[in-house]
Amino acid sequence: MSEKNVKNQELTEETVVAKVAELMETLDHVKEYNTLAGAFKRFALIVLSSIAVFLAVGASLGFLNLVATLDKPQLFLAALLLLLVPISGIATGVLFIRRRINAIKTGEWKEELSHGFPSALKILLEMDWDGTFDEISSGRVGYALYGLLKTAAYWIITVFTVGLLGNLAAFLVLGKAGFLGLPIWGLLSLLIVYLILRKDLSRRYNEIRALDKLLWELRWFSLELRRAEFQT
Amino acid sequence: MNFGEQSSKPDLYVIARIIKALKEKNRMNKTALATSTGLAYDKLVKYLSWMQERKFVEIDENGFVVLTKTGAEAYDDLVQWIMKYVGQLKFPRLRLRT
Repeated sequence: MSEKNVKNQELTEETVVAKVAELMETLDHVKEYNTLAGAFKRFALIVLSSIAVFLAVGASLGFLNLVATLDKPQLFLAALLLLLVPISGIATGVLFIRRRINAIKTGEWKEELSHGFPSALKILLEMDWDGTFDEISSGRVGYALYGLLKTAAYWIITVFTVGLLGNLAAFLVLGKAGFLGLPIWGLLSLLIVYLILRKDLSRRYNEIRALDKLLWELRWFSLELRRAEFQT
Repeated sequence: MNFGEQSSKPDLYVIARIIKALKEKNRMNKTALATSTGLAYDKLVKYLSWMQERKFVEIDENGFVVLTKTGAEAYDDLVQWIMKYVGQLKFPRLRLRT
């Protein structure tokens, strides 16, 4: 074999190793999505509980007529404090998810792959493709649900924040509160949340599309790899 | 030939390891080759026997294992074969947002 061919062969081997490294790095990222999907129930429980507590306390204040015992500044302060419950619920949920994601072990394949082409071959041949596809699928669904729940939680908080600020402004300007109903605050809040999270939602959508693309790409690859027989 | 308890097919990874070790050192005795590839001696002997049948390796008069031209070409074909599939993979950029 000429020196040029040897050089080309080495380059091809390096390319295979680099491609497998790229694949493994991508699968490390998939682990993050999958962890998020696994922790989603706990996240949903934290966020929904905080919203339930917020609504229950708010409703109790109304039903027990405790509102009547408070003057307007006190009422405003109480409502503001009450809003801290769902806000801290979301913050706790997100922190919980981040901790779970940070605990993921990644890059364990690096040592193995440092042995060059044979190790790259081993990784490819021993890969649990079906397990990987399940991970991508569940990660994709979990990520979408996570985004939706977080947006919904932001919306609920915004409804009450906007309502509170709107009522305060109405009280200060017009001398009376509650001149607009919950549906109006709801729609206005939806618009505000959409405007604030528009870029974030679009990025999340692109991430889900990317996971989808990865799933198809790897399905094709594993099928080709399994179908092809290397002739010795 | 039986390569393992469950399969009679040789492991491509093991073959690649043996050939790569021989490519780097040119000729090696079986013990050194077993150490270099991390294989048990008896397993290596089975693989070498299979590779000898296909003229991938030869054992010279001093007991050294030598890689043949056919063996080197088989390894190159294996690299090209994997490259054909891996080379077409395109990975999307993923960045999880919490």
